[in-house]
Amino acid sequence: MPITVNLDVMLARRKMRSRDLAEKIGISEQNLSLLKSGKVKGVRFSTLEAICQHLQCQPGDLLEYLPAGEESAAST
Amino acid sequence: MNSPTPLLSESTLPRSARRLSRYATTLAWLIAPLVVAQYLFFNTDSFPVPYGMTSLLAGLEWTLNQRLLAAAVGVLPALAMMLALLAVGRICREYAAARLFSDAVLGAYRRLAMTLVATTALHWLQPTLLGLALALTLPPGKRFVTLGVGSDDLLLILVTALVFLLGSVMRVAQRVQSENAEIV
Repeated sequence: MPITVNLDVMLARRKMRSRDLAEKIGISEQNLSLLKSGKVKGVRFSTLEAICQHLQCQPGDLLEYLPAGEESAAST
Repeated sequence: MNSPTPLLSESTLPRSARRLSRYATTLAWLIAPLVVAQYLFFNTDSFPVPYGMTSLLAGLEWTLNQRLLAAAVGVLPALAMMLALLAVGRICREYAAARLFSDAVLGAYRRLAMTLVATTALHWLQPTLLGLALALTLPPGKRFVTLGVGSDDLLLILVTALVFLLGSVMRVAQRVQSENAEIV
């Protein structure tokens, strides 16, 4: 998928566990795991706002757009 | 950040749906025996005999055979209505469990629509079938069959069409719900 979710990178930088973040922002750990792996169809602004608030980051730190050609090049 | 309000709370739909499920299921199991009892033991004035037969049967004591035939005819729409009520009970049980758009609900709506079609058809045919059944017990020259459409039949047709429409809407709603479930 062209949109890459870098949530696991931000969690590592802030030294926070997925479980703790999920509890703070009010979504299940399972949904957070799906978000980290990019297996969701969308993210609500309220969820994005809560993640940015608790991880002290910007939406651009979490989401990255890689067009199809660049995505396959980045993965190799 | 405040946690989102749950879609269904304990004090709204679930409680009323559970109650409605109990009423629908109870009525479903009572309706056929009550109809049979009505035809076997009660006054025949309220029976839906064809219009032209009313005068022929007025004042006559119905024989056991006539009552049994009438009960056999009368129980058919009651059985269809029983299945419809059981489908309603299933829908309400699913709603009570906060499963608004599950496959079980969609299946129950389909069954409800089908059984309403059967109920409508049998309700429409009931006076005709009853007349036919009674005609077998009447002497020659006093036998005839009628067929008609009443306002009750038109109302049933309208309700059946609405249930079909509701079933279609529920299918779309299920698709929307599954899409929304993939948005976090």
